[in-house]
Amino acid sequence: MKRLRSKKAVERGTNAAIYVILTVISIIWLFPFVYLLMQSFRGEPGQATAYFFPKQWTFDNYIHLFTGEGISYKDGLVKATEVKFPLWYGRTLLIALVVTVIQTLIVLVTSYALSRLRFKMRKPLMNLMLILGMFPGFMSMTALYFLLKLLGLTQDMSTVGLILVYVGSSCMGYYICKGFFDTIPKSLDEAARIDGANRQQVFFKVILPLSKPIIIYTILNAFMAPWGDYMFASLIAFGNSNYWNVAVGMREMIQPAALSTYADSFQRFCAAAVIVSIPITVLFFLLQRYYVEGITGGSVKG
Amino acid sequence: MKQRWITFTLAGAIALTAIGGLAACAPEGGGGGGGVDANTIQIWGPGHETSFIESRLNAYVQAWEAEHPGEKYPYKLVQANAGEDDAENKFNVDATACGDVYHFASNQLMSLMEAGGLARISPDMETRIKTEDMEAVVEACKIGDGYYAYPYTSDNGYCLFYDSDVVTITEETTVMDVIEQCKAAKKQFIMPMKDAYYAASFIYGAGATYQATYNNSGKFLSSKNTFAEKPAGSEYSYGELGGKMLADLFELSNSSAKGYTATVIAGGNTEVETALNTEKFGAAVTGSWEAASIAYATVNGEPLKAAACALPDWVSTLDGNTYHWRAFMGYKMIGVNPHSSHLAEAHRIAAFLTSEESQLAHFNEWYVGPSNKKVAESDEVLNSEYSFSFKAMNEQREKCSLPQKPCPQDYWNNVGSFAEWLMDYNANISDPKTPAADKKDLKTRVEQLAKALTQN
Amino acid sequence: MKDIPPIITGGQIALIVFLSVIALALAVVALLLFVGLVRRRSFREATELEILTMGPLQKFGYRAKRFLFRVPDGAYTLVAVHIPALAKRAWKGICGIFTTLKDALVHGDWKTRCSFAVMGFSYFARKRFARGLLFFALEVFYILYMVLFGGNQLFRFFTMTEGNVVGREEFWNEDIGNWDYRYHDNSLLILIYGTLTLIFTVAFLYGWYKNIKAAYYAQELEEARRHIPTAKEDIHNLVDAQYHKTLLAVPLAGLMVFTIFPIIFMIFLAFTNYDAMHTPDVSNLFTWVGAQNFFTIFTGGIGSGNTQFGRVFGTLLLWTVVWAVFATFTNYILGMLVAIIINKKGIRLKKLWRTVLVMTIAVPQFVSLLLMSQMFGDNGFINTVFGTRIGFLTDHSLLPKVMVILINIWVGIPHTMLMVSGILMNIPADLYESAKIDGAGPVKQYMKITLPYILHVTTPSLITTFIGNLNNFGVIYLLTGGGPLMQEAGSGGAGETDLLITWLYKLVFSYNEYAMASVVSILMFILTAVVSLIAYNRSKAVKNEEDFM
Repeated sequence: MKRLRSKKAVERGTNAAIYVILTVISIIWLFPFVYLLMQSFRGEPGQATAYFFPKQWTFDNYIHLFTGEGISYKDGLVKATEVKFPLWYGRTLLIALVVTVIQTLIVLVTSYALSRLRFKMRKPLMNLMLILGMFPGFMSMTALYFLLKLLGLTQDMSTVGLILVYVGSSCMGYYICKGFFDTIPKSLDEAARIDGANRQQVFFKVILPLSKPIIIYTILNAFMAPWGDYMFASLIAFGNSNYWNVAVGMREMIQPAALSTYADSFQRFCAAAVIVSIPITVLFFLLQRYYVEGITGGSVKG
Repeated sequence: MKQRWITFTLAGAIALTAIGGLAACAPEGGGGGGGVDANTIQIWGPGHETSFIESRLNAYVQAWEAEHPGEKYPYKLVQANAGEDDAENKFNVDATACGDVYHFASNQLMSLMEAGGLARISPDMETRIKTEDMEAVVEACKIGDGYYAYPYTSDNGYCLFYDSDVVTITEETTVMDVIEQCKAAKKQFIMPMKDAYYAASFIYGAGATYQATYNNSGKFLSSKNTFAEKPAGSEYSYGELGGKMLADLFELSNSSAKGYTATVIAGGNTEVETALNTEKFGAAVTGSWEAASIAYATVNGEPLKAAACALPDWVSTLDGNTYHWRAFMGYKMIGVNPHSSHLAEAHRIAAFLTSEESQLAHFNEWYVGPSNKKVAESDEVLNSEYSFSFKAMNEQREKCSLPQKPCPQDYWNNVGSFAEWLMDYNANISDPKTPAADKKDLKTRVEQLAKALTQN
Repeated sequence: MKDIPPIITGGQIALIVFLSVIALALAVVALLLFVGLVRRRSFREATELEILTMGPLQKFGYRAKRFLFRVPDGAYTLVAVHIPALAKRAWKGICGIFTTLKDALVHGDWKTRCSFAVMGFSYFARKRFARGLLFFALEVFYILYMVLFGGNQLFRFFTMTEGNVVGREEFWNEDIGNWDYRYHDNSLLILIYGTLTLIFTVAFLYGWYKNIKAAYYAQELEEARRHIPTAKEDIHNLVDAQYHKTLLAVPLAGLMVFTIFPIIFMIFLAFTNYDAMHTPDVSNLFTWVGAQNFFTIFTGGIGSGNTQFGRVFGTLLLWTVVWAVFATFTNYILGMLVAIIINKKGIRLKKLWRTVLVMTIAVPQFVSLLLMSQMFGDNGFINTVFGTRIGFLTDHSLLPKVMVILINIWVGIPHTMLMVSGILMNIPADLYESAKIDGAGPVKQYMKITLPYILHVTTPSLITTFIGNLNNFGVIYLLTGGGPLMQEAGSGGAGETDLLITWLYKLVFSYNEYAMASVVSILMFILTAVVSLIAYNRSKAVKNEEDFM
């Protein structure tokens, strides 16, 4: 009797300790985002304040993002800024949507081919893609920039150019998807083939319906990627802020030049961050289950 | 069945586009594929001046249409903000995609020439700038026999800005005096110490020189310096003297050091703005770009008594001598891209943007000193509220400044490393716990700096 | 004239150390090989029962001995088996190409021989027009391209040497009343178009080879009186037996254009002298300089501008490896721990804890990183609250390096936690039940059941993460921009928290040192490629790929 009770007590003690740890972890992890949210509503000027909760709450930062204005340090007036947030947001959203569709197709198709179909160049191809992935991405940028320029896809047509570049090499991200396909038993394939299906029908009618988690995982990944691309987007826009995407624009907002010209540059950055994060966060929460299934299924056997 | 056709059509479409695009555009070479409208002229300027430049361009178009009654201005003028600091990088990547008209700072002249970004100005324009603009600025536009840019501003440098309630400057005031005065009033003294632009100012103040030579196509040839040499009457080299002074300032700004009072701040524009905001502004080493903020700031509800002067002298803790404090004094110019498809019009626009009336308007809106002699001596400029900045810059230029000539990237890298090295120099040599082998040796470091800055 | 060059530079030391380490390793391997070969028979693999009955010390000794005896085996197989096999396969491949060509020429009938000149002829003659047309169109397209454009570019590509290229010319244009410019060669465009043409040529040669092979094959089919596939049958094949061709056509085309072409271009760039002083179209065009840049790296070179590339490269390489190790393993271990404690039986609100952590994945990474860099900046939140100016990310101590690793933990743990959580949920519970019945405490359960399972399953992912961290650009660049500038003279603008890849970025975009940057990329790539190829191909996952399906 005595032993059992102490064991339970030990377990309760451990659990309590774990709850404490988890709470601390949650606070540390969430703190910067709460800070971000608070700062996006801050009305006082300046980059940072010594206190956490803003003394003046205002929606102005959000409004100014869309009207392209900002509070200048020089005379405290609301002046036009170079921030064209709606334009950047729209462009990035469009790019993300198109890239999602095309990239998902390409990744699924490549993963299936490498996973299920057997052909002579399969292993060498996988090794090749592994190797190619190790070259630093931006070294290719100059070459790609000139290639796109040749095709007339910079500056004015940079949306198309960016999309092409993003999807062009997307087949190298087959790893997790292929791992997932590997876990689908081959017997299903064989049964279908016995029934007379050709390989294409096997892919579309048998495998894909079973792959909902990985499809959603691929869609989520493809959607999230273009939002964060700073280097290539800034190169292809070549200084013209009409062709920036959200990442470039937001980075410019916290450069010293902007921070010292506008008193609310940091707050507007926070507001922009909130706006950018919301759709992705919402999508993520809705599809979280599939995302996890996708990762674990795909990572299980590589 | 449907999916199969979709796959094929998609693949085919992409392939066809690629082939078609390549085949169509290939013979044109690089110039045609820019993706920009044919009748557009791109003007690049600093981001915060967008509305100002737009108003100037509108004035230009109106003037044009007044001269050609009944006609509409045929070109589309588009602005993009590739800031002045960035111009040379952009030209190095792809000169054909850069703006037709752009702003840049005088130290980029040679790299821009090398990158093929400067078009020579016509003899008429040459005469104009020689008669109208300040000689020093005009000289800075010269490469070989020709002039390759239009002078725009004359005070792209730094001096000392201060609150005259806090700091009083006399003939004998030294830097430490200024800092003491700020400390007494519990205000801040701000200087961008880590920035290579400012870091070597003490070294030059002691009398050192640095010279970089370029050939007429902008290629860097050689550089030499006297950082490791000694001034008359001292046993320490210029680099050691200037370096020690900077190290002293770093020590004062080090928040983990004993006796830290948050007086000296190693910071730039953002820190100046923060200090103005929190009413802690005492003095700052900064340029005319901050003049307006300083003039507009308030302390305890009343306007700050803004003032500016040339950088004060400083006393070296190594040998006790007093030395000047030199600042880089550069200029800003407007250049024309030789790849422009509308070269003549671009030249006209550039000439207009640097004309007398534009420079005056520029001063009135952004308080930046003009290079045009008449404007600089006009009543408007001399009697404006921001003339304190302009006058201080002139004083600095006359008293002790270095013309900011083009220098290679290594110059900035090496001076920057030197400044970083100095950050904890004082703490390192005075800490009894540091073993002798780890103690920093200023003399050797200066010699390394001098050697690194010397190229054949 | 350069000043007194250093007697022995950092880079030379690095090279000497590198070479001697390799020599030492080879000597050790040879020794072990000899010892192993001689004593191989004296090492007997223990049976399961024997392993179980060994005490911990004995077990350790056994394992160590087994490892030591495996090393020479591994090295032996690598040197004596794998590499010769690879070489033999490559040689066979090349010989095979020429054999096929010879066969086709010698044994082919007139239709096949004509296919050498007119592609697709063999198919036309045998009434298979669709295929023939495809091959013929390829030939026409290529010839047109070369005549109109490519041939010229290829010629200029190979002759782009000093003194052979002319940049631009300034002349007075009376029409526009201004100085005007005439442009001649542009070495960058020559390089790019030359590379493109080379790639097209290689692709064409491959197509031509395939054409010959197919022509000969068609002839053989005809001679054996078998059916040559018609166009319709070909299409049927494409969705069945040859489905991989259909599926991979577009992805591989994209790969070719957007990945392979830039990489080849970059490799060529490493053999030029393209930097800020040699831009493409003015007077100082860049030209081929051969392998000079590689020597500059290793001889601690006074490369362009007194920068000691060798020393900087070595220092950054060290930090890159240290960073990758710390970043990967801290995330992995801590993430695993968090997943385990959340998954523990007595804890409630599991979903809540997981959601909180997963939220950080949902916010785009660049937002989180920019936010962190602002919070810890000199003027940021932390410093303003405490009234200090601690340079969290700019100090000259270990602080920025530690901060970077910590912030990376903050960013990375949710990913690991997510993955491990999923795996944990898949471990059958009865394993734990039976262990508990056998009297195993929680720690022992963890060590024997959980840990091995997780390790086994996530090893490939771990390897991939490690390699990814070697090239982790975003975290470092967005947080510190490369960190405080190195203090030594001649550091070429490299910073203390710079990885090789962020320094590369600065070289390219701020200093325009394209040629040196390409060289550094190539060296980096060789290092990572060797490591990951070995790790990936040996990982059990790949070995057991078939078993799992």
